[in-house]
Amino acid sequence: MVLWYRSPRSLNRPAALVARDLTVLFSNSRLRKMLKKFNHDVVGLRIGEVLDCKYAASPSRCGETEGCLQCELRRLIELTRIAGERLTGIPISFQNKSGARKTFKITTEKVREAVLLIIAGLPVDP
Amino acid sequence: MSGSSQSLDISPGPPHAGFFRGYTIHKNARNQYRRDSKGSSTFSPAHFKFTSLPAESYPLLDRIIEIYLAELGQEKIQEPLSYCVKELIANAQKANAKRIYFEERGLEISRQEDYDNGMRGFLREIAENLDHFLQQLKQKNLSINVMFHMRGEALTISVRNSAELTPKERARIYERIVRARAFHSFFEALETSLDSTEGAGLGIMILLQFLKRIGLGEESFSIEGKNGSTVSSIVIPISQVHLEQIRILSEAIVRDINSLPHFPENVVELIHLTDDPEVKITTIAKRIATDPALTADLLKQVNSGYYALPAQVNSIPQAVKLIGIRGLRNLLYAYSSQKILGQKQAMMKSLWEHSFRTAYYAFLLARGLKRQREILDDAYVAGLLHDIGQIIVSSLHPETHEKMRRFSVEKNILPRILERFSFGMNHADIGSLIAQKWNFPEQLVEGIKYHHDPLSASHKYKDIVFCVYLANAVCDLERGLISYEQLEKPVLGDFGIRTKEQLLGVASKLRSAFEKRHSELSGL
Repeated sequence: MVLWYRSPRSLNRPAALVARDLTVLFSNSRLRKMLKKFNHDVVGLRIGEVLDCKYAASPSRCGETEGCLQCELRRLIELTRIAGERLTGIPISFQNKSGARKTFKITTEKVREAVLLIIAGLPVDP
Repeated sequence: MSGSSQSLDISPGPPHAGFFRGYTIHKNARNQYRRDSKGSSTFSPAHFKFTSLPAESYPLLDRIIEIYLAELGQEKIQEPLSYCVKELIANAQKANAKRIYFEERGLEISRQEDYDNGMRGFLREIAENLDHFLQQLKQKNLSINVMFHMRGEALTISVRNSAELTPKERARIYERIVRARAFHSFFEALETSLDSTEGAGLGIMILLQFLKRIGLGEESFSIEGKNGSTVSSIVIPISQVHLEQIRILSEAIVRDINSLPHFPENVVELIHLTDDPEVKITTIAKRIATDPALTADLLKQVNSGYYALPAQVNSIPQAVKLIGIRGLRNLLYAYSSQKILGQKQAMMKSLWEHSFRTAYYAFLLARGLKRQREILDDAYVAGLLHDIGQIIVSSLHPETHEKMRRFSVEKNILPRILERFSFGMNHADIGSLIAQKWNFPEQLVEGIKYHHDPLSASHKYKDIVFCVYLANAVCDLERGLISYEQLEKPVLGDFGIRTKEQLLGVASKLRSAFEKRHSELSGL
């Protein structure tokens, strides 16, 4: 079943299609390769769990913790979904499970009620 | 309670228990909805208080916004508005955390040099040590208050944090507001603010861009720092279509209440006589004596105990001498309104009980805090009659309800608007229309009309309206239906009330005075 008009598979950048509740609906092989993960470690999980966000490892899930209020990625996804506007090259930072801070440059695009998330720049440790 | 300041008041909608994990809900928060459904209140303010908000609570926030917007006929802007409110909450939390960060480093936020030094590392620090800041916010009880308040024909959503804006911060915000005017897309706004030291780009300019898109414009947004806190507000007006439908229905209800008789003409004349300083007590007493039924009823009321007269009173001149012209005037309003509207049903009785308490509180407030003898009488009567619209709508005959339903279908009025009327919506307007129909004086019409919206009252009658508003609010506080945060601070300030403790002190004195009076009367 095709849920979007533009498949992440066709993109030459790591990409994932993320639902309103931050669940990853689809990912391309470039993303899995970048994260060194299998498809079953990505699809069906929340984006924070996939990216190993520190808060996603807490008892509450990604999108449900106290830390999520300040989460740049959550806000970017929500902004894209509501505004329906393509946003390119936005730097997003978060802390991973080991406490290291990661920054990605991300491009987002609304696809029906989901958001296509394209990692435009490789992770950088600031 | 979970954490140090986690509490949540929800008034307008049926709360979903699943969203309340980790919070204490005031026991009456749920009752508020039942209370609305019974029709004894207007659409009440809702209030959240927390130090940090788990994202799992967002659906509840969205739902509350949706309920309020439905009242305004503005449902279609729910998603962008919810986004804006969450942005304000995130900013408020960041502002609170910023104070902790500066304090921990011994930096003075109001000093330019310290501010610049501190801001260099603040964002990185908060990102890397968010847990620490969340913990500190709880320990230091740096809370965020979110208020939903219908004022007149608009909804105000305000987010208050525990840190007052510094001049530097204020200047930055205004600079952003000016810059935001030039943007035509979110991307432009984001791109411009990416290098900002204050935020990661999803800030005030995005919020203003959203407001522009949903047709509200930057004038609907305001931010103000005062008395150790900062309040950001968004004002959403009622839709014009909705407004027109409410007006049509309010007028129809007032026009079509055929079962409601006019205020007795002889009583209206008597009230006018009591207003005339040239008229002597004996003249008024003689006029009353010409109506045997009124004489008998008034004597019965005077002797009922409320006036705590030393002995049985057998004549009107004697009664007027004892209770005074003002007392007589109060008696005429109270007696006639109750006679017309009745108080047999349990709900009516409860509404009148609330009205008497409000009247007495308004009287005491006028006497004790405002120290204005000239408004004592009006404050009492306006307090007594403030919910008259509610009493009337609640007592509508089933035939009138059916007539209103048909009228709504004919005029394409939304069923929800009609339904809300039964629950008390617009009761202040309906009450004031009826007060006009009964030729009540202007000050009473205003007291009734603005008892939930005191800041809209005319300057001339502001003191009376404020007394009624605060009296009614204290009654609601006692019943746990509202909290201190939901009250209009300019009104409290007018009575010299600056803190919650002061208000509770005033409420306690009012309650004691009322109960003392009540027990004196019961013992008679």
